[in-house]
Amino acid sequence: MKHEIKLFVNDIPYNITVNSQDTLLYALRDILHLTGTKKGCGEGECGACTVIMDGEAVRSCLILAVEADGKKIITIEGVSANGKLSRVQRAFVEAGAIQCGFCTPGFVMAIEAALRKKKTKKEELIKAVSGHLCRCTGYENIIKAIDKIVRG
Amino acid sequence: MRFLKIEKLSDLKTVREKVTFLAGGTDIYPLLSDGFLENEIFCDISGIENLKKISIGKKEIKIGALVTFSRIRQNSVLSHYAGALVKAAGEVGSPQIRNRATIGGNVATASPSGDSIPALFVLKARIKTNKRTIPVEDFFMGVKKTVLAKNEIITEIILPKNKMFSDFVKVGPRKALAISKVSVALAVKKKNNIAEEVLIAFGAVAPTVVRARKAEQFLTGKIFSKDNISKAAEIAKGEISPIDDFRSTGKYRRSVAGVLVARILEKAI
Amino acid sequence: MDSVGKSFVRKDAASKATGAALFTADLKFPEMLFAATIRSPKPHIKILGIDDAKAREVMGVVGIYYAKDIPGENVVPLVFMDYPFLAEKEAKFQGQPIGLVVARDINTARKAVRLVKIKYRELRTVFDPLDAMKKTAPKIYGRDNIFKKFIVKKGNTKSAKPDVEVEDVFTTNYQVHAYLETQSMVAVPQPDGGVNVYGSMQCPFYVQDAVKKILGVPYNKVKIVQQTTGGAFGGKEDVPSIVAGHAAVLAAKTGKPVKLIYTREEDFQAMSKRHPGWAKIKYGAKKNGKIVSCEVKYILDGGAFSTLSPIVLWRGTVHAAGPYEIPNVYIETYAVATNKVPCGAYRGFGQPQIAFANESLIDILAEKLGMNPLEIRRINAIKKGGRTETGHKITGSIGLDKTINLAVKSAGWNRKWKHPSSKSGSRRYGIGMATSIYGVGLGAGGKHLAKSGSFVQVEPDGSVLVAVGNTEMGQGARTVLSQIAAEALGAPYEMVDLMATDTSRVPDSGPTVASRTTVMSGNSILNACKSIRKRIDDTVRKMLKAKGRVIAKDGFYHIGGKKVSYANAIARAWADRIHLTAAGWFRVEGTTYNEKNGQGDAYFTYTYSTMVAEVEVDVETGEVSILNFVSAHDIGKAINPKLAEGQIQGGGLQGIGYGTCENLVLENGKILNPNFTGYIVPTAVDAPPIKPIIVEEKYKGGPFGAKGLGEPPLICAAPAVANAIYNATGKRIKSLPIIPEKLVC
Repeated sequence: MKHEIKLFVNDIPYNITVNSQDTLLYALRDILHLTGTKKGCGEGECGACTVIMDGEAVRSCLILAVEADGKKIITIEGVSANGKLSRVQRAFVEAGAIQCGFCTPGFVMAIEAALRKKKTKKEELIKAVSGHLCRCTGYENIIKAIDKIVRG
Repeated sequence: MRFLKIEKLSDLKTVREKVTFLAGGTDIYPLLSDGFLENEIFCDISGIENLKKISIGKKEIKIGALVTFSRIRQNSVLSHYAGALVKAAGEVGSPQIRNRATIGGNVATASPSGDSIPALFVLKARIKTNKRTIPVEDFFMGVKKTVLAKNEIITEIILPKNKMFSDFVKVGPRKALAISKVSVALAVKKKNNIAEEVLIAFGAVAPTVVRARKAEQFLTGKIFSKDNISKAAEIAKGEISPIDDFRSTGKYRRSVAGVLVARILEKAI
Repeated sequence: MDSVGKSFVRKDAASKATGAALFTADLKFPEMLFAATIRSPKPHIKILGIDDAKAREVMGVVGIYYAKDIPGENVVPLVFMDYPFLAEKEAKFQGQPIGLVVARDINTARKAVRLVKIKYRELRTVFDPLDAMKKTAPKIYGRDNIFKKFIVKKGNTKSAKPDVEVEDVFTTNYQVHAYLETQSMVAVPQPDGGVNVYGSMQCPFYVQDAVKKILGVPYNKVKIVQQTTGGAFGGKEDVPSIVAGHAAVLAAKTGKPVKLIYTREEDFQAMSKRHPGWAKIKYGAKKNGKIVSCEVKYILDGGAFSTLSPIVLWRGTVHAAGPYEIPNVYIETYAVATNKVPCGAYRGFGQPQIAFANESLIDILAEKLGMNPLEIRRINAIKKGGRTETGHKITGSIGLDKTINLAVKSAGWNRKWKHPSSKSGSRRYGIGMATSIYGVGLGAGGKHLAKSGSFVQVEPDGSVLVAVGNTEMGQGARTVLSQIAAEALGAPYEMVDLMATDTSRVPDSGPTVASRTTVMSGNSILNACKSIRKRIDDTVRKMLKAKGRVIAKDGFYHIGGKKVSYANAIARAWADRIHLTAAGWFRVEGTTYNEKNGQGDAYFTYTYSTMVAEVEVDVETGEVSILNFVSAHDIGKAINPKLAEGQIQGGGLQGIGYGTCENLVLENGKILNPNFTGYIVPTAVDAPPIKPIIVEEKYKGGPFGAKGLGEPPLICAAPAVANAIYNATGKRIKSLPIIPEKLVC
């Protein structure tokens, strides 16, 4: 079954046609070609597909595109406007928190969402990424990146 | 697969087919990619605004079925009257899952390891649907089976506004994003350190939540002493016969169930 | 030095942080089709027929292909040629590829796969390698199910005369790589009959071999380009050959680009794993703690096909006695076939399994001798002039003692270690340690691959393009090799970069495995840069009108007191039409290793490691919290200390996961938890602080003294944790992972 939906992604409105079973992740990556959001498991267990929807960090693989109809979405492409790294991205780069980089957009989005909700304490930010898997870094430098963000 | 959406409870009448209702969808979508749901019809109810309220009455607390676990976790009144539920809400999935997952969905999915369910048992919750109100004890029929009829949806979870101490603990395979191996919820009413009423419920040890009735009986009217607590834990352990699966073993679950009962009771001293 | 030894930010960090980096799944080509794989529904079947009529009717299905449709040879080219790209008559593990569907979109392809009915008869199965070695076992490989057997014999264990002996059996479970990006390939057919393959991989030349084989075309018609790769850890060493082979066949058949991306579940079901291990091990020692004999029988569960099992086993074999100097050693090892998913490379490559055995047993020995685990290691640790179990005399670059000393000092061992009998309460503290020796590179087991090419081109503006045959998969090769090239050329680091690895740019350089990239590609780059530098130096002499040695420093070339900037020198060289491009080549000379007795120089050099774990064990629930983890490594020279630390931290946590929570569960050959819900890898809140310590005992043969680091950080992490758990609880768990269920019941 086809549905016409409207998505506001990174402040740009899109009218797209999706199938009932298409996830928001599929719509972002395969219809809108915003491939910065990653698919690591498709089951909500890794966090790589995290985006911000109406202000909340959500897993785009666990949301149907039709459910996101009319919603405001921010993806990783929307946080580094004009090619300038956001403060979260900069902290990740400088702290050595990136190795293979596949999980990075998800971690960045989870922290961006928390900061936008005025959660700025270290424990709050660690909690925000507690459901994200990273297999390369041992999280040590991700925690260091969070320290940098907290220090400002 | 087909997809419908209703935005008012009254529109349920218009749904003629047998549908699977979608609230937060966090339990459903993992199945999508496997094609299990190819022939399902989904009905998205997440837009029904009046199922998203938490209302605190004089005698009762009503939690709309579409209230997310993130909101339950942050509600200060709930933490007063329903500590076990608030604690359990913080243990569901990950922060992003809690932003989507709803209490109604957790109850309707009826997973043996659904973390909110043992809490609802000890809080003597009633499940209100668009057709009736059912005590939580009568709601579950088995693994992923409930008494819900075709096109019946949960609308509210009703909790009596009791000032009981209640709490929830679980053991999972890691510290976050963990499906319970065993969980225990407890509610206690005490006077001068004597138990007037005790409710203990286990999750993940049987197809549905199990109350430790003998242990509850043993403790009722007794002093909350270390000795009585360890006796009660021993009794509680004997009331379950969990199974082996890939997540854990029956032997471990039973042993840890006893440990958790003792620990949660000690917190109530 | 200007570039080496500096913690520069990785070259690829910013593009990965913004999501701009292109992984394979992000690629799009016009008219691209999507593929999915038809797999064996059971662990051992005879295929009687296939009914795909319903699948072919699905709108959007372009084609369905089987073994008979393969234009070239139906065998994955690895050590032995036993693994078909697609099963034809018999499938030997659940999930083995049988056919391929290609369709206009991925959901259609997967739907069609579900509609294909395989008619089969189930055959006898064997799942336990010890059973598979019995005469009565069904035969999966050869006449005895043994892929490979090795022996190491040093001295004579029968004449060792120890005062005490300890012996035990230790087992380990699978480990899943759990790279965040699943296997991914895109094959794009070329007008002249060739194919370009873009994908996630460690070893583009293995992939090239595979695609050449399956298509039956010459090498120069097969171009492999590695995309940004989302983690590998060994899991993208051999199996991408299968995925690429499949995509290439479909591209050749349809004439369209074909994308093949695995779901997480099929990645779990069918891709390689760390081998489950079984080891019976015996140490004999004198009363003073000196180990005089070691006997090992070590068996790896290889799964249904040999893949890399022979060489994984070899690495395990030549390290099986531990990092100790022991005069009498006898080691006998087997890789055995079972009806399960084929196991292959995983960071550590046959060493972590046996390290768990020997590092647990040495603690048992210490206890029996009434010694501290630290003391017994100090006594036996291999030292300068000592000989490894293969009789290799170590004459330099040996920092095992230093790693031991620094690790225990950092952890406060002397203050904190107390005998388990002194512990009480429900939450108990424990501290444990483990050490390892690690042969860098492929060694004698893979000597035909011990070569590496490179290509260095200095552009007119001074920017430098470097191409190598090894890959960046997250470990930092792009950055580290750029630093080596920059240092060798005297170029500013910012101006040097590595291009994506492309088989049409550099010759076969062997695989990116075995912690060999820094040494192999690094030396190859040094060779290329040397010939370019010679020409630059001539130009500099001309410009400065001076003779003598040219020294590069701070972006200038200096002779005596005169200097010219790097940019000006390069501009001048180009103006003079000097050739500033060179191809580099490096190969390792033959070793003295003799396979008959396992004696000789197994590797050119070794990395040495010591880890200390501190834990708190809840003895009532069996839950283990890792409080602190110290990991010290002698790596010769850290080209980029920050990246080296990242390897130590990441490898450490993978090793801790291996030791405590990562538990793949199989029932009759079927994986019961093929996803991240059931297979538990640590999260940020489970991870302890991991303190990296780098020891630099320079290796003469390495670039700027460097050895290898990728694998060692994992190898002895699990036994360090196991020993700490013993120290806390007095319970010696002899099987990994040490899940709470084993501690409580």
